[in-house]
Amino acid sequence: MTLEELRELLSSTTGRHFDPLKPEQELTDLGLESIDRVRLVSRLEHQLNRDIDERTAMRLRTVGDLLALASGEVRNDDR
Amino acid sequence: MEPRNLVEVANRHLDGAFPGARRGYYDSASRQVRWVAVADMVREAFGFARRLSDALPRRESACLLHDLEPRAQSTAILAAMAAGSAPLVLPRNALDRGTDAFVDWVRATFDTPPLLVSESLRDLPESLPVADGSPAATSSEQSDRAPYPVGDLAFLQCTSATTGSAKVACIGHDNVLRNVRGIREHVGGGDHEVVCSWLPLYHDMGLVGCELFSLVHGYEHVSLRAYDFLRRPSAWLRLVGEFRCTMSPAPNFGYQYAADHVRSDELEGIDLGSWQVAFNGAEPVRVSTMRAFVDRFAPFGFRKEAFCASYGLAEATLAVCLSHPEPARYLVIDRETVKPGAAAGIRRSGSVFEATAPAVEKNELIVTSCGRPLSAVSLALDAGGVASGAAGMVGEIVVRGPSVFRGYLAREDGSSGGELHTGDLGFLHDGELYVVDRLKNIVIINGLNYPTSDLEERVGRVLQVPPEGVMVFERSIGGEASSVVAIVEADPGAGPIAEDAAQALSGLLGQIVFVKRRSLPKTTSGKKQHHLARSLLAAGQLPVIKTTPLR
Repeated sequence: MTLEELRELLSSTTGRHFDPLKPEQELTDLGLESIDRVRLVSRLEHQLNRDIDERTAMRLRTVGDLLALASGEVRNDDR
Repeated sequence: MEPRNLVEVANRHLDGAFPGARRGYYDSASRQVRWVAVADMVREAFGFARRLSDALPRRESACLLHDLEPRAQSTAILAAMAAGSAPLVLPRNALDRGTDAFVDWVRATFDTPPLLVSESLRDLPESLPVADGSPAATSSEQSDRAPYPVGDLAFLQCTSATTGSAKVACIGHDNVLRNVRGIREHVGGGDHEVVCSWLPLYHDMGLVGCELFSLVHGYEHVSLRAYDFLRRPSAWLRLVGEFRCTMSPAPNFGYQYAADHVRSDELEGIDLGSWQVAFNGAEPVRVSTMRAFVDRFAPFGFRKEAFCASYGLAEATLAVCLSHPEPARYLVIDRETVKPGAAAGIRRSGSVFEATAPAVEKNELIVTSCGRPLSAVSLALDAGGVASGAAGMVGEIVVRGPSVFRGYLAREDGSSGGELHTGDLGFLHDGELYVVDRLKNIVIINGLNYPTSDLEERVGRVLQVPPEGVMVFERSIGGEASSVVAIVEADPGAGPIAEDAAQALSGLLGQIVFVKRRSLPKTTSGKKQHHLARSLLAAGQLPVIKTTPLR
């Protein structure tokens, strides 16, 4: 998933615009509270056709973490 | 003889008082429910209690439960009680502000060092011992006896979703037993009910209303994680249907979320006809939400009579008033009369599910009835120091009864004396409670409480202004919509207002209103006057520089 695709996913999930979007940005700085994050994860699961567990979802801190998850670099509950 | 505490309740499970009582945990990966007999869980809890007891820094130490698997969490709650301790289920985000901030909060809150029970944490300072709370550890030993005498307190509970300035409420075993028996009596619960829940156990509705309610009455109980509900809300409805659940609670937000986000293709074959009591509380209960839920799910068997609007709070253990079995009702009142001592100006009344949605004018407020108090609870309305039961008079809701909590932990305002000033404003009409406003500085977002001071600190951090110049409140507590607004003092001459940074607050706030410096109303001692600020904002009497909508 590219940064641009992630930006579109974020916008369609929350109804807000995210410009600029950078990998180092913290999700809390984008106003993504826990429910937004879970909804985002749910859409990602649908797109990626895989299950993302709670601990993995709750460890997401930055846009880069989301990109890594979307590209399969992060597996469930990797510690 | 009736059990006097929750460990005696657990013993009754071992004595076979509730044959077949079982607890189910939904596993999202397999989409199956994993069942455990409650008696087996009790044996594991009593076994785990020995380990906990050995690890407690002192006999009177509390057990803080952090990041546990759902089944391990149920076991650990009971184990802590059986070890003579009291469990506190920490909010999910308790460590989001870092380990140091968490340790500071623990030290400021607990006079006696607690024991942390966690699956993932290991490296805390030596003064905060940690016990392994993994599924393997919590189920490794079994015992038929609780190892230590039971303490006075059943559990502790944070009264808000953040630990930053959270107060910790102390709930006694008798408080819990009286409240869950009162709920059952009020809604006419039978000997065999099936409870379904997705509520986290740091939430009073999840811990008392589902976990302990089911344990005490020997009811079957199936649960899923809040996480699983949020990413697939149909899973909740599917469990209710599949296991013929009769009781399931949620905050108003949960019903709205399901009505908004369940996909139609996920509803095939779901039958909600078994659902007898759909408790709705923890935040204002909205007419529009109940109507939307019924519109969406009546075709799948949901009965509108199942809705049970409620009023409760952690300091009353849980429930104070419940509308069931009366049909859900609303009143439309004059906004001008929402103030202590005024007679509520009732303009219209009706049934929540009448054919046409009720129309509400700008100067009116629509409020749902929260029903009548539980049988052992008495209510009074306090308007300026005089508590009155006078019908129709608006006042602070004062609760008296056997489930009023012991008090807050380690605070000077500790002891409740059996009387609870709730900080909520309401009135009684035809014996039913209507909640119209909130005097305490709490904002409720998606059923979770946040102290305004925590939110003000966060707004200050994001916008890089001192929190003393920020006020956060909800524009309207009753009514059909609630919008959280932050008023921020800004100096137009000092450079541009940080509107870009404000985006980080869009998940919490609906709007930021920038006002001139020194215009926020405060008392002579510097205490913020949130209510006055809200009135001034509504009346257009604050010197507004700019209003920034965030959603």
